[in-house]
Amino acid sequence: MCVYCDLWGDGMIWYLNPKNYPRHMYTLPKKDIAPKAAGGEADPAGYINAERSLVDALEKGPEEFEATLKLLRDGMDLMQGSVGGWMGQAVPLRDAEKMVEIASPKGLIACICRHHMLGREERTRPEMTCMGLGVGMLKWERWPERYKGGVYWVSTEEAKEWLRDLDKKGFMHSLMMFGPRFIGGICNCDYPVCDALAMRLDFGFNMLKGHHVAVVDYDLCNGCGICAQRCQFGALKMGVTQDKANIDQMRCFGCGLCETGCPRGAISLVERAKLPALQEVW
Amino acid sequence: MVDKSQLKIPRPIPVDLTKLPLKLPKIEIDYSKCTVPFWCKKCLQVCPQVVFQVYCKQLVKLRESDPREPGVYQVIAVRRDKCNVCNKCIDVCPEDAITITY
Amino acid sequence: MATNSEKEAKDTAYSLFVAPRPYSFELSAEMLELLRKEFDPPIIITKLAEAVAGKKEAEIDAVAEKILGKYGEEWMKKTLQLGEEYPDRTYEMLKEAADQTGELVFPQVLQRFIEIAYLSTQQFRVLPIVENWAHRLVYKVTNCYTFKTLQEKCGSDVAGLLPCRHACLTLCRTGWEGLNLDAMVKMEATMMKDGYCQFAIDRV
Repeated sequence: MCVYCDLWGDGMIWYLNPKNYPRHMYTLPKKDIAPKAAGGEADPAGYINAERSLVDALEKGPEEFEATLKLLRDGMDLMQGSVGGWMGQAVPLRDAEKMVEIASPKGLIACICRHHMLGREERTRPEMTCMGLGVGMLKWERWPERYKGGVYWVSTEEAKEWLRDLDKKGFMHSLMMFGPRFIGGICNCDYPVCDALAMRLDFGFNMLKGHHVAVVDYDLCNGCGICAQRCQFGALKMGVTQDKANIDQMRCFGCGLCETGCPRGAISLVERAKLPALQEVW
Repeated sequence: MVDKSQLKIPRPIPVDLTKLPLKLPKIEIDYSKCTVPFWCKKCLQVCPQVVFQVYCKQLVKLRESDPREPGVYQVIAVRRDKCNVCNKCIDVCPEDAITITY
Repeated sequence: MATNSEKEAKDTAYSLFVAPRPYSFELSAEMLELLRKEFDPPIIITKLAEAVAGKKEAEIDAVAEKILGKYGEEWMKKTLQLGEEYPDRTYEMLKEAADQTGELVFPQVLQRFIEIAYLSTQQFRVLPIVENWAHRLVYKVTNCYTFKTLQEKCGSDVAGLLPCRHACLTLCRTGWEGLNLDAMVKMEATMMKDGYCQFAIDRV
């Protein structure tokens, strides 16, 4: 059980607990207080500048770097209600499918990371690689610049189909949190275009590992190598000696891409909690 | 309610602290030349290390910003730590706005 | 390299979203005021206080069920009517999404009307929704204005019987019936035991 399960799980995996999804639709304005002036939104460059300062700190020395990292993690906790700067978590396809059964409404949107990192625009439904969850999405027209391309509403079945399609292509699924107890989206990522993954792998915050790790059944594996192309984390390679897939479970994020890609069903996901030495490896 | 101070919060640091400080390339962008980066996006797409990021400087309520309008978007070299000074971005920039020193 | 004609084609096909009118995503203040005028808790609780004056404990609940049950029904009927007459952009988008997906009447459309009903008559600014998904809508009422008024006008003994629950329960029932849904409502927490009321609507 991860830190968010301890905090908000109520005994279950936290992202399968319906209490952790967006909830109320309306907030009445405060009486006696004038509405916020236009442009009251957070500085759009805020997060990018924080990342930049982290990179700058690499030039200054270990103390400065650690202090900047702490500042960034604490800042995210303050702004987003996260804990330790953990905004997201890797989620295997099977759990992502359960998540779309819980979350409503669901809308396909453009990926903000691909927008920032590649200048990529996703303006039509087949291009869209991100899914927003919950009632806040109904108000997307407030900030159309963020959504560039709008929202395509999907039913639970359509959402699952869309997830399976992206899984086939090799995107890893993750959830994103926007505020405490508030799962706001399912991302489909790849390094280094996904900012959350890049921050995790390079600097150690933003995306937690998932609740599973992958294991190979050596009797079933025929060494075809498809899984090795799908691993985003350098955790899975072809073991040359045995001519079979080899997984470094310390590195495995439990995204399950190797499992869904294996044509022979030779890879399965086991719960992290069942492997004593991996229980605390997040 | 769970006591937050009792939580086991993972705090890995994948950076090798013993190797700091690092020497990183300096990447400068002349914003008087680079005015419509989201419309051009050549440096963003050519960089093998995804060093650059582009963002909209001013979000406006109820209206999408026009990337063809000068000054609406800005490109920043965020991940200088990953830059290998291949200079592809300099070659591809139509405005000669990028300089890299190492 | 894109040729000039390709560039022009990209240019002309590029359309930017601009809201066709200044959208409001919030509930209409006028609608909330209309509902408050008619269903302000002190009005109905005064009526209840007169009706239960001098009655025995056993009779109070039956009287409350009749008076507050009717109140709850009218409260939701009017909410359903005014909620349609005063749409906000959030609701328009919700209806669009519901049309596109064939889902969302439960829970979100029902949730909207329940939020309106409480926000118009209570003193809080947010109705805490605990769960809202395809099979279940759960919400909480803390710092209930109706309960407070009840305590003031009828005393703690009558308030302790929680006669006001009939209003909330019929409110929920009228809500899903008005939207042609089938559901069940259960009280998962009560003011007396937990310090707040929690209503769980399960779709059947």
